[in-house]
Amino acid sequence: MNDPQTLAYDRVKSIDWEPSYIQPEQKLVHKTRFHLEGLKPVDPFKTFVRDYFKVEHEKDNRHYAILEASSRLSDSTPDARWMEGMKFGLSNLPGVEYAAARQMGRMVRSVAPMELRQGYMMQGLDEVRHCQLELNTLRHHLRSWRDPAGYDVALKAAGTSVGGGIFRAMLEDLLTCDPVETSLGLQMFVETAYTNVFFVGLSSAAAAHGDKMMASTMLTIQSDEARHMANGWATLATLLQNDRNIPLIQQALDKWSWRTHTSFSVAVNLFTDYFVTKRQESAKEMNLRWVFDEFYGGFYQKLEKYGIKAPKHLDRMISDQDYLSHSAAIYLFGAWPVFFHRYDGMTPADMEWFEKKYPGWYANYGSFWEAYNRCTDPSDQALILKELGGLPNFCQVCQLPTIFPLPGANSGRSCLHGGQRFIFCSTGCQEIFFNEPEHYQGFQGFLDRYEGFELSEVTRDMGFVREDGKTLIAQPTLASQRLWTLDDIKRCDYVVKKPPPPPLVEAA
Amino acid sequence: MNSRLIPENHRVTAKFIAGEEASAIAAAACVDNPGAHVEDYGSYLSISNELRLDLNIPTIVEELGRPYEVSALLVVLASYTGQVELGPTCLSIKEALAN
Repeated sequence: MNDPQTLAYDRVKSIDWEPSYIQPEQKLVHKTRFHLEGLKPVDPFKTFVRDYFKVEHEKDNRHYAILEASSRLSDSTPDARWMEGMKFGLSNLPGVEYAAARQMGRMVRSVAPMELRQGYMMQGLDEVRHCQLELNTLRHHLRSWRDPAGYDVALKAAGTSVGGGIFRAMLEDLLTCDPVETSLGLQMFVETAYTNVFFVGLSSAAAAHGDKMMASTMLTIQSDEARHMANGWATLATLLQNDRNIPLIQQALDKWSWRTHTSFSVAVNLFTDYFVTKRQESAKEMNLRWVFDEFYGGFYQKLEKYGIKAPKHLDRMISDQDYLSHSAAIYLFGAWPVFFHRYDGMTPADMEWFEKKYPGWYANYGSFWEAYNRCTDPSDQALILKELGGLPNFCQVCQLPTIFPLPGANSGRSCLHGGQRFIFCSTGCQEIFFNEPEHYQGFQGFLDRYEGFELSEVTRDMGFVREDGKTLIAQPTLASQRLWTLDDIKRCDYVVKKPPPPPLVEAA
Repeated sequence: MNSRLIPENHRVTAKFIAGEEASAIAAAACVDNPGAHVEDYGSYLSISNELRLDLNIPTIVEELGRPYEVSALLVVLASYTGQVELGPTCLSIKEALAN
C-alpha cells in the first residue's frame, strides 16, 4: 500500500520515541502474560489525531442538534414503559463508559506496540465522550419526562442498586485483569458482540417508542465502537502471530464469552423483551442474528484455523436465549421496591406475543405474571417478593441471581474454598472463580449489605424515595391512583434474609 | 467449531445511521456490489454482501449529488461485520481472517 494516507501514517508512526528518564520496564505500568514482543501490529483504521477530532466534532454537531430540537419541540410523546425502563437501563451506562476510559488509560500504559496504543488512546477519548452523551440524555429525560423521579438518582443508583451490581462486577473484573485480556474482553466481546446488538439493534426500539434522544445517543456512540471493534481485532490479530499466545487467548475467550453472556446479554435481552410495547424482533431473534450469526458465525469461527476452539459454554449460551430475558424479568419485577423506576406488568397481548415467540413461555412464566398483576394495589398489602418466597442467592462472580436458566430448575451451586462457601450461578462462573479465586472472593453483594433489614429500610437506605420522603420512586404499575409508600411496604412485613445455599459441588 | 448450532458464514455487513447519507450509500453499494442486500431497521440501514463490500466515494457522490469524503462515511457508520480497510476514495469491508 503506497497511498498517501498510508505513507503519511507511517511517517507519523516513526516519530515514536523511548523515554530516557525511566527504564523500559518502568514505562509499562502493568505486566501482561501475553507475548507481544517482536510482533507486527495491525492497524486497519490508520486514523490521524486531527482527522479523529474532525470526525468526532461532526458527530457531536449532528447529535446535539437533535438534543436541541428535541428540547425545543415536543413532537411526540414517548412510550411510558420504555421511558420508565430507561431510568434503570440508562443509569448503568455512564459508569460503564467511564470505566472503559480508565481501562484504555491502563492499556496505553501497559501494551507496548505503538499502533495499538494509538487506537486505545483515541478510544479513551471516545469513552469520555460517550459518558457525556449519556449524562446529557439523562438530563434531557429528567427535564422532559412527565415523572422525572428516578432519573434524578440514576447515577447514584448505578453504584448501589442490586441490578447495577451485575455491571459493576463485570467492569471491576475488566479493570483488574491482565491488560491484554481487557482488550479481548472489552473490545472483542463487549464492543463487538454485544454493544452492537444493544446500541444499534435496540436503537430501533428507542426510535419506535418516541425516544429520539436515546436512539441518537446509541447510534452516535456505536459509530465510535466501530473503531473500538477494530482495536480488538488489531490486538487479536497481533497476538495470533505468536503460537505461545494461543492457549492464553483460548482461556481469555472462554472466560469473557461467558462473562459478557451473564452481564451484557442479560441486560440486552431484558430491555428488548420487557421494556417495549411496540414489538419488533424478540431478544432471542436479535441475539441469534447479531451475536451468534454475525459475531460467532462470521468472525469467531474463523479463529479455528489458528487452533482456537469454540467457547466452552457456547451451547448453554445458545439454549439460554429461550429463558434469559424472562427469568431476569421475574427477578427485576419481583424486587421492584428496591429499584427506582415504575414497572408495567405484562398484559394479555404481551403474553400472547411471548407465547408466539417463545413457545412454552406461559407454562414457565405465566403464573408469575398473573400473580404480579394481582399485587399492584398497596391497599391489598400483597408484595410479589413475598409471594415468590423472597430474594434468591447471588453469584459470587457475575452477581446474577441464581435463577437461570429457570428459577425452578437453575444451575446454581456452591463450592468450598479456603474454608468458606461460595455460591455460583453456573459451571461457567464456577470455573472462572477457581482460575483466579483471589480475584473474586472478596466481592460483597446485596445480601451481605442488607440481610436482616426490613424492606422499607432498604429502600430508604438506598435513597429511592420521592421528594415527600415517604413515597417510593419505584411503583409496580404505570398508572396507580395511589402510590406505594414506605409505610405500605412496612405493613407487608418482609425482612431480607439469605436463602438456603444451593447444592454443594466439587470445586474442580 | 464444535457447536452444530452455528453455521460458519462469509457475509460482511455495514450498518449506517438512517438518513440522507445512508440512503445514498446503500444505493451506491448496490451499484458497486452486485448481490448486495439492504435492510431498513428504522433507525439504521444494514447493507450486506458475501465476502466483500466496497463503498466507493465517486458512486456515493453520484447518488448524493454533492461532494463527499471517506471521513464522512465514518460519521454515519454505526457498525460492521468483517475487517475494515480505509483507502483514499473507498471504504472496504472484507471477510475477517479470510487468509
